[in-house]
Amino acid sequence: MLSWLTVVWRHMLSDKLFTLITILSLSLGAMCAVLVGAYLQEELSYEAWLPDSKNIYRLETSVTQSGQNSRPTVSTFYGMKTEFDGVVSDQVSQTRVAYDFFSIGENDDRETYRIAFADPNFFDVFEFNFIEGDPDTALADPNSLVLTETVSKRFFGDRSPIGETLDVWTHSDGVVTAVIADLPRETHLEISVISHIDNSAIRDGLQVRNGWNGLSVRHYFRTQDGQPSQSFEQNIETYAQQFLDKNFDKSEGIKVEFELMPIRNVHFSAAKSGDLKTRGNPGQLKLFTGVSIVILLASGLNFSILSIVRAMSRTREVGLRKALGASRARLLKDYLAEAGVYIFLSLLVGFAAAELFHPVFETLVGHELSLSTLHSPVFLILVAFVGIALVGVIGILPALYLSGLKPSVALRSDQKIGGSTVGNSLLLTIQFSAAIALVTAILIMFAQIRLIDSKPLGFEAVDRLAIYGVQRGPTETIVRLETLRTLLNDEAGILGISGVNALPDWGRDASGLIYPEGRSAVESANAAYLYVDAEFLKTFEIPIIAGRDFDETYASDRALKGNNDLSQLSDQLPVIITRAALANFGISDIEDIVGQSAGMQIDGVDFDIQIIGVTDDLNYKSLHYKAEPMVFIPKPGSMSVFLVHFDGSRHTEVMDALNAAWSRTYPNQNLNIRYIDAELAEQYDEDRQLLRLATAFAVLAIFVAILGAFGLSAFTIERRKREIGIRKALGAKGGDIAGMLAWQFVKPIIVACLIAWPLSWWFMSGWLQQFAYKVSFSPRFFIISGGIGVILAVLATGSQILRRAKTSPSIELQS
Amino acid sequence: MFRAEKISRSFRSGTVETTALRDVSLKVNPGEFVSIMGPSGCGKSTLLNILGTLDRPTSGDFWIKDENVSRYSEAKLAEVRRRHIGFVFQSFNLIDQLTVRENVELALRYRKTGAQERRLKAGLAMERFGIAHRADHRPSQLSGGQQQRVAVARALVTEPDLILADEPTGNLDSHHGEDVMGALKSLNDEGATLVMVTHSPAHASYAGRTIRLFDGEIMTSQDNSVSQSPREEN
Repeated sequence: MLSWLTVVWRHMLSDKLFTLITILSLSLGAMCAVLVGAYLQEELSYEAWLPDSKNIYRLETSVTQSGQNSRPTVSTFYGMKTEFDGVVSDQVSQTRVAYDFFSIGENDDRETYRIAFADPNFFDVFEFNFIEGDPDTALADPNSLVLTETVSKRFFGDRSPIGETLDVWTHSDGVVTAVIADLPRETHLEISVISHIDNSAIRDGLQVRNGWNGLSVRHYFRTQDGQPSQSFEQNIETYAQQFLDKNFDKSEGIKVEFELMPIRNVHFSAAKSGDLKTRGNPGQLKLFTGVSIVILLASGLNFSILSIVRAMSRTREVGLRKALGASRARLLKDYLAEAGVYIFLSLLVGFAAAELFHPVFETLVGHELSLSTLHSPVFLILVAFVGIALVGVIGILPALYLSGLKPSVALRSDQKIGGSTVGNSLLLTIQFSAAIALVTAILIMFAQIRLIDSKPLGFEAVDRLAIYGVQRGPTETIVRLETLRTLLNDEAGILGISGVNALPDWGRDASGLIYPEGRSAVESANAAYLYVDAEFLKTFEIPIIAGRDFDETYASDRALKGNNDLSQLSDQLPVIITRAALANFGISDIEDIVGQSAGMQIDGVDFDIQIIGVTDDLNYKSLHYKAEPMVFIPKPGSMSVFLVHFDGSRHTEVMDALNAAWSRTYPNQNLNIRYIDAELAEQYDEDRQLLRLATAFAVLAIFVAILGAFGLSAFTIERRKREIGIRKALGAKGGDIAGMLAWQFVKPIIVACLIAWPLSWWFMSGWLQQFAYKVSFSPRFFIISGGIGVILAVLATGSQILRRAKTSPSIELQS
Repeated sequence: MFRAEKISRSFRSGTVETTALRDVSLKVNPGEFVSIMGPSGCGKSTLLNILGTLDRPTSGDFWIKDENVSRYSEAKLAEVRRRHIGFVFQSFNLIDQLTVRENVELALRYRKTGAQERRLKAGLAMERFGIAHRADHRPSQLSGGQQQRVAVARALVTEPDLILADEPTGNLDSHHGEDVMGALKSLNDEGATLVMVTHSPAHASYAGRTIRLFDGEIMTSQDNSVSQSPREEN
């Protein structure tokens, strides 16, 4: 064994170029596969760390208003729990959790967290790892606080926080009862601080929220026997409907459906309203897996084909071994084993490279990747299996070829055997197909992202910031905004302040019905709405193209300022609509719409409106969606964020002024701001991440292809030495030779283009589907990617070609 | 005993068929040393390949002892070679990634000879041809004559029934050529059966019998024992 390995080692050393190319490309392929494998394993292991997670279900709700698309949400109604007491038994337990942002701390030492307010039996369902405290009593008191290790360290350092107090905003004094380990990334839960669902910070809010606003808690069930029994599911459905019958008026034409979602499936289920984390993207996962397999196989092809090409120099060895009595089976075994050495060595190098480069990969996928995945025995066994499979797939060809040589032919010295030209072309074609397809895809992605970056949205996002956590009671919120406005009015650099109930990047899917006067809600059309204050359009510089902007000197524009209830309106409410909403009225001239009366329905409440102005269309949601018909409703009591338009060149002064004014308006609360342009850009984070990953994959694919082309040129051109010598002796010039050789390598690239182009066209039209505004397929994407392919092939093979073209024929003929 | 009966071998290249051997019959007795001579392209190497079971005749039969091996499969032929035949080539055909010792041992490996026995036999063979001190060198570090002696050592280490030498002195200068011929002759003196292809009449005369081929057919078969002994010639 050892001596055999020594011989293989000597073979490797005796052909360093071959060894370098094959090991380098195979280990790149292996690195790629190992990293994607780790990513895949992590994505597929969501919630698996949680004890008994396969028996935990979340009840999800889907609300359909008449004629509209259903709105699936991860939440259910707060009050349903008692209704379900009938299904809860020894076998089934239920628990609820509601989330809201609060700052906790003492005096000025505060931090804002999304706090989970849970039923006391929360830890019966979710068996978290308790570092201190008792899960059975941790949430016994409404003021209990359970902290994660990180939060505990933030406030108490290394000392035990048990029994210490932290106030929850200004509502209650929280008492720390337990510390749990931080949750791993692989969960849909977002937990940093847990408190009691009856904590006074949210209790009143939760309990008074009724009607459709009551979708406020996440409701979990844990069963004992794995699959929830059919009767359990039926009971859930029955009790849920009973709850609806008691609490809602069916005549509103609203349909509600419930679904029990196993939490292990949450990560890859369709996105729903209320998701706290980005869902897994199965399409992207499949794509990465596919591309990394292609890169691995392409690098394996380098080994296969180059081994066969190089076999020329080994035919005599094969002949000799056969003459000495080695059977074909024996040689096959030997050469397969030799391939095994190359492959496992490459896997080893690939593994080391994966360890080394995993921070780069983490940047590309946008989150940390646990290295423990790479070290798990299961993963290592998997890698070993992949290695063996690779030996079978890529080692078999050269082994079959070499062991199949006829000894009488192989022993002749002036052989022209080894490496069919078909095989060579196949290598280049396959590898460059992958590379060119990826390059085309990247070009299209780049163009699309540029389109997104440059498309006017209908409002100005630069130099605007949003202040979060401003919502109080309706009147109180308005008062605070006005205080803030007064304080900042004369400050240099502040250009405008307003408020709204939802920001562009929230992807909020709230729409109401709008219908011309004299018709009913049944004959209506959808329109998205925003609750704004009178300064909103000015703050975002949304131009009015007909009619007027809101103006609080009109009494009608202030109608909802004292009473925030749409059902209490006595007169028509003035609203402003976008151009797209015009279609709802069958009116084409925008001047005609101004002054029109109409009806509107939001959350089942009908009210009368008058259209006072029209703006151009707005891409208030991401450009994945078309600009939809929108209605701006002057309802400042519902504002949940404040907007500040500022002079970007005076940022420091602005922030100082803002901080000072804020601490006077909202004492005891941190100023929590985000920049609108940054938030908008984040909507395309996934797209940019895909672009980054695709670029990385393309670079790898190109590199593997270049290695292959370089190796191929080195070995095959060497074989044509005599032929080239003869051609030169007959009068061929260096240029003729170079052209002839280059054509040999460019031809397969042209075929590769024909394979790659339709492939990338097909894939990218799928990808572009998710954008409402997309680049068109211009031929230039394809021409550029093909051109890059040809140039790379020529560069990779150029040095060998030039060397041959320049050598004196006398040297070539000597060989 | 090795017996070829009316063997022919033709090659097809596209539509052109070339006949390399035509109805050749030949018997090699145990302990005999036969040399084959003839101009280029007369079929010498083809005949040697068939005798060495590296190739099969298109027609006719080839017997090794009592076995007709002419229709054997590739796998069975490999076994026949392992059991009966040793080769010495014009261009030595040593594997450069192996040391001298490993080259000599290689044939024994394919016979699944145990490591100790392999080492002993290879050691003796190298000793005998004066290359033992070079055992751990690579072939490329040796002179041509030394390389061919390694090849001869490798051919005899398995104690084959028949040693085939294809122009063993073709790549050597006259001094080294004589050296190798001496080695082959001494093998024959000890009872080994040899068939050698050569261009050199002087080297052919080391053999007990010389066969002359022309155009794929045996022209003459001459008993050298009645003519001058090569050693007296020198």
